[in-house]
Amino acid sequence: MADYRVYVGARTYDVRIEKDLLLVNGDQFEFDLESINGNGLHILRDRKRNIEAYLQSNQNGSYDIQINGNHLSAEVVFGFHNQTKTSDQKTGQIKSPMPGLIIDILVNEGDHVQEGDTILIQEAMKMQMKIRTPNSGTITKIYTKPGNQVDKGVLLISIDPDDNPNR
Amino acid sequence: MDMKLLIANRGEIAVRIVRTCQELDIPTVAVYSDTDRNALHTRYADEAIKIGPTKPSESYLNIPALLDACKKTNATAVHPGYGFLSENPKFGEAVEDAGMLFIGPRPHTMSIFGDKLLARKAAREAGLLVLPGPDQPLQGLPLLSQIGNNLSFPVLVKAIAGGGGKGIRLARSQDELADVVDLAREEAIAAFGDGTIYLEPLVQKARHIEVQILGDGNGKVLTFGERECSIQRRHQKLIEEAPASELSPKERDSITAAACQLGKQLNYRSLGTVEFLMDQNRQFYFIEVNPRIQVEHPVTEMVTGIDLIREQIQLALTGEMSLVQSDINPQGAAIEARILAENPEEGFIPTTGEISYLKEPGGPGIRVDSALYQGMEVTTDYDSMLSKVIAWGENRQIAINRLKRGLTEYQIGGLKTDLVFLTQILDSHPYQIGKIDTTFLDDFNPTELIPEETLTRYAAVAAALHIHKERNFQEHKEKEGINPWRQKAWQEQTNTGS
Repeated sequence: MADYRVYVGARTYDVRIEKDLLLVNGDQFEFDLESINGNGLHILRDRKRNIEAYLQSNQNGSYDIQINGNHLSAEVVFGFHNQTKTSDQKTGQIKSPMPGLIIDILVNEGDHVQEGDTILIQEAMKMQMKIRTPNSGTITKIYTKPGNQVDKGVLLISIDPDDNPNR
Repeated sequence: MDMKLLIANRGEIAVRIVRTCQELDIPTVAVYSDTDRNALHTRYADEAIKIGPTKPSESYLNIPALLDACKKTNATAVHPGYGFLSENPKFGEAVEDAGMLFIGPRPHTMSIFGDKLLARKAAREAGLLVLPGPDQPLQGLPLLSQIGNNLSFPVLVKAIAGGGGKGIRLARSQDELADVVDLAREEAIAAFGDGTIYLEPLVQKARHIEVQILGDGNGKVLTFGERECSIQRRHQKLIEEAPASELSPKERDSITAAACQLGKQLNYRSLGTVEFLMDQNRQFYFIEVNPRIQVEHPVTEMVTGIDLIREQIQLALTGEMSLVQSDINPQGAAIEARILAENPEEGFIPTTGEISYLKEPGGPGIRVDSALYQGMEVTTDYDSMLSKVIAWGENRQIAINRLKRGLTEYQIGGLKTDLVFLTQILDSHPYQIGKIDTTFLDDFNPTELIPEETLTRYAAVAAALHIHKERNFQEHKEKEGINPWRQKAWQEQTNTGS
């Protein structure tokens, strides 16, 4: 299972992808995405129609998407951070969501961050992703540095959450 | 006589002219600036020759460089296209002085129409109704009441050498006139090198209707009917159609006869367009003549079935017209939409970028005149018009529906264009019923073609699925070297799961 939060203009979509299930803000859909030419052109399919979507990934995990001549910008982050908190979010441990290269770390130890702030940029497949903090708190430890290649699930940054009950 | 034609232009019109020449078996020479080295027109023509740097004044507006290119390639004729030097009498003169054929009006005719006040005078002498106002340029800043000629506010301050919608300012009062006069003079100097301005009354809610003519230079003038170009932004045309919607046969006859009369009076040679404004009392006023091929000529070609460039070239070659008036019988309706590298959501500011993906429309009744190709870099060095889509239908409604369909098929990746905006105009009720005038876009409220919520949800799902697949790909590659894109893993899982 994987959760993605996608910002498109003023709207926010929580997309959950499980084996045979795709949920958008809790509603089930049957979309599939297929690359046509390896050059950005995709077909987004549901049961009723095929939609041509032209995707270009930019730096910082954002996409320029063209559908029927409409230009849209989408930004994807991992996880729905204001929903039921996972153990990681409780303890404020930021782990690598994918294998890839650490491009930039935007915080220093001791910095105070707000929920949703971008704290790190990771790249995989020449695609840059913003990693945002799931909770507000203070950066206690940074375990990696720009240029590092990391595996999925590796602890990158620890945050002491503002609502830490143990404090 | 053998002809070798040099096309002193770029972009879609250069491609357009090459196409006809290929059908006529006339060898062509394309010219290009530094940035246009690989442009489509250079590849479609038989030969291509560099004329200078990117800056228009050093290349496409550079008469010595163009004449030099003619000499080097042994060209025997020059087609100027539209824009650039197409209305410059000095260019036509230089081409003819060098012993070549200039495919356009006589230089003398061009100098009349290059001066808006001389043009008014010529039109009045030919018996056409001209907007009130003095035939003299504006000197200093007089009171409007002292100018006379029944002129009253609001008035347009226009450059005598104007064209392409540039150098036009509106003044609603004496105070506003004082504000804009100097500005208009400066703009005119910057754009045309001539700061002479004149006043013309503003025609409220005017319709822009123009007549296509072809003259043989000896007093014989044919008309190919009228076009309506009322959908404009910043006095520049966006959507054009033929015939004009809602004209009575009598009105049509009278406006085309007026245009031919002007052509005859001047022994007009080659293609030309006589432009009129129709006021709310359905009165036509002459405004100007464009002595060249126009951007919107394809709508006339679609309804008449006649290649205007072919007729223009053959006339220049033989001195005789191959058609008589009864050969020209417009059928159905045609509409053209201009695809611009501009963002309508932000006041039509220019957009730039590399064309990363391109899919052009096709199918019944659709024509695309374009110079786009995948990988092309769109810059602000030249005009923002990228291409044109033209639709023909048995009637106006069918043409509208086809053009909407064509614009929806058109996919241009890499930069923002006005594609969706054009579709919204065609889709709007006022446009559909032909209730259009030059102020149409002033209070136009585009309605969404696809609900915004649906569109953004598609985008969100596409982005999420894309990232998800990239992650899977990365993991699979590390483990087994499997490409999930090829596997369509998600789709198969969906199918077996349901």
